[in-house]
Amino acid sequence: MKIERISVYSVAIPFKPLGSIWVDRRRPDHLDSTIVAIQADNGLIGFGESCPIGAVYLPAFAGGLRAGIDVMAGALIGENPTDIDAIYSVMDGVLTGHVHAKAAIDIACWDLFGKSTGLSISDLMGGRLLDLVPAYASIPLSDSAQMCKTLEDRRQDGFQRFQIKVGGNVREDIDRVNTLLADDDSDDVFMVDANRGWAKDDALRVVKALDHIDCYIEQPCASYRACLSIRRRARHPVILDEVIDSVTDLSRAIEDDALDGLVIKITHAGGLTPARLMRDICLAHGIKVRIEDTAGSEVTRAAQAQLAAATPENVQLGSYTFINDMAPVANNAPKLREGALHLNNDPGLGLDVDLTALGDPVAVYTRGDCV
Amino acid sequence: MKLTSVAVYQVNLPFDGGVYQLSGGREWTGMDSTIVKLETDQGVVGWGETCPFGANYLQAFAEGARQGIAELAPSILGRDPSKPSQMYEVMDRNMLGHPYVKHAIDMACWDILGKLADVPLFSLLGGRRIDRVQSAGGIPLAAGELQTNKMALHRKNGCRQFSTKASGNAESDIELLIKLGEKLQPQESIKVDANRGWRVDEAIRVMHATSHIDLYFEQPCETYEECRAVHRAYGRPIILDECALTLDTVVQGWNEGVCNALNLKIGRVGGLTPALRIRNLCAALRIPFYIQCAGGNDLTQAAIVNLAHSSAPELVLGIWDIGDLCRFNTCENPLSREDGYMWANDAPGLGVEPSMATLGEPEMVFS
Repeated sequence: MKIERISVYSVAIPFKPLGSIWVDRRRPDHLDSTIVAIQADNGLIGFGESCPIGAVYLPAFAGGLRAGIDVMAGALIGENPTDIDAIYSVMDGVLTGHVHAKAAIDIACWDLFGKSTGLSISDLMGGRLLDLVPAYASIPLSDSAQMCKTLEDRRQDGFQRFQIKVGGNVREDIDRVNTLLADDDSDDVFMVDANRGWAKDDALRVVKALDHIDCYIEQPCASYRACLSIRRRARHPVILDEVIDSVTDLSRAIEDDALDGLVIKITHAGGLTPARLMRDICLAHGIKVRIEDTAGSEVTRAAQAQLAAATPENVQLGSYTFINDMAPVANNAPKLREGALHLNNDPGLGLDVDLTALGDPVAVYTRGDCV
Repeated sequence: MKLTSVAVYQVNLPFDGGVYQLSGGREWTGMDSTIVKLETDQGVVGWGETCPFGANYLQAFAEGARQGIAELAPSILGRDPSKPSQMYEVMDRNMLGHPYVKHAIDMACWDILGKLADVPLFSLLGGRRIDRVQSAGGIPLAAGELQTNKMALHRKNGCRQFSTKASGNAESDIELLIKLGEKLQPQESIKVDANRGWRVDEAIRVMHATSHIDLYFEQPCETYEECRAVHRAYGRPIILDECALTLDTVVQGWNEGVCNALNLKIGRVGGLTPALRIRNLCAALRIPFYIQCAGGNDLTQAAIVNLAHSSAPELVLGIWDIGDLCRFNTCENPLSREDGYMWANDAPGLGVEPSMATLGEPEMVFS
């Protein structure tokens, strides 16, 4: 099996900002998502997606991502897409870093591997463990009253795991969390996410004031060192996200005892292959995982769900599920119901992608171009 | 797919050279291998093997392997063996530890998954990245001409790192290494495997006396902490082996600069499922590795070679060729060998099938 054609699509995805990073920044109303379709010489097509949140959430943006695919495409044509690690090595050989670009290709290759063997990606990764992946609801940053209302609404939807967005102002953040959680006697899980929004002293004031609240503190500060400092002084378990970019970062954080939970965003990790390894390392160290992604269409939702479905439920904190009101680009995508993503058992990502919904490709690479 | 039957076979694997020696006066004349056959309601059959090296090499022994499989059988029957991770969870829930027991069942599960997907095992482990896999150039502990001849043979096959065993006696090991060192040509090195045979002080003495020779030291002392002490005292490259039982030891070894290379023995870490995780970790952290097993025959060899095929070429230091010790075959289609290289059969799963005539009657059958 050989890669014959790589088509790249740009899809506009409606976006509603959730967290503190959008304070004082230009907010996009649409995200520019990149979907790749890799066609093999036997006619099978695999799909992958990478959708950064604008250009400021992580060091990744749509234009650079597609430029990265442009650099790699020539080396990928003619390679066997089911040799997953070999494909990754080819990508690393022609482009250093830029894992967001590699992620889309990696996901598409897994999809092809699944379609060529008739197995879902989670079965190829050693076996589906879950058909229902636990999800959480994110409560967008707002005033306390509004956030309480959202929390109740999402509970009504069936969620039992919640992320509470904070990171604006110390007094207000303390008030938000107290209002939402001080009298809570449920078994629900709460993750208080500052999205790097606190300076170290801010974070310390908040965690000390919330000492009596049973919640996780997520990504309190911008730097790894500052997060580590808070981890050592807070009583809460700490979840890290944006500051863990790689396996080496994670290994160092484990040595420092810096985290109790890790957010593994598939495209931030570089695709399903490196994301799976980060999950395995976490599991070996008793660190819980949240398997999700930044944003994207049904393709992203299916990719994150495949890895989560191959991961024991009791080590998962839940997954964020990016849902928008645009017309779907694929049918059969995992559906969010009662606080869980429901997967089918079809090969690969289990999707039926509607090529017409993707519009015209913005770039197409074939063997002829690369001679 | 459901597991309907577990059959356990016992096979003696005699050593061609008679006796095999390791540090501390440990010696063996052969291996006692356990082969497991998993049958499913869909007719797909999976094969696995576990073969401890005697009872005093690792915390593993042949009779224990068979008893362990008997202990696990009731829990795994009726489960889906094409899902190795799921099966592993079930095994862990029902038996603590004993990774070498789980290894055999796990191998058979991967064999089944490969047959179900209709791809060779290396495809499931990351795809073919190395066409033909080079064996490690082993030099026996026996002194004299035999060593020189083995070295010349490995060199002819393109081997650049020779592997020798230490006796555990610091004086004679220093003498041996200096003698071997004189035979090294440019760009060649030796890994000396003490198999935990030295105390910290002895290891430091050997390192000091051989500082002019390009040497790697494999598992010089008993524990991880002792190996770390030796590394800190003398800074020679260390290969971790027996003490690296789980992924977190490799992470610690990387963080502390001790794990300069790993001898990844599939059975020691508990089978292909955990070995794949550790192999992927090594790739991400750029830790080079050998892929081996404590013992075994054609099934074990196929598992080793398939994992090696799918590994980064620049990180694979070599694999264990079981044929070095034992030319007896339990399979009808053992892997091909040529000039120190091996490669997998392109058949689905492990790609090798045991010969029923060689296996004889099963010792135990659970269904």
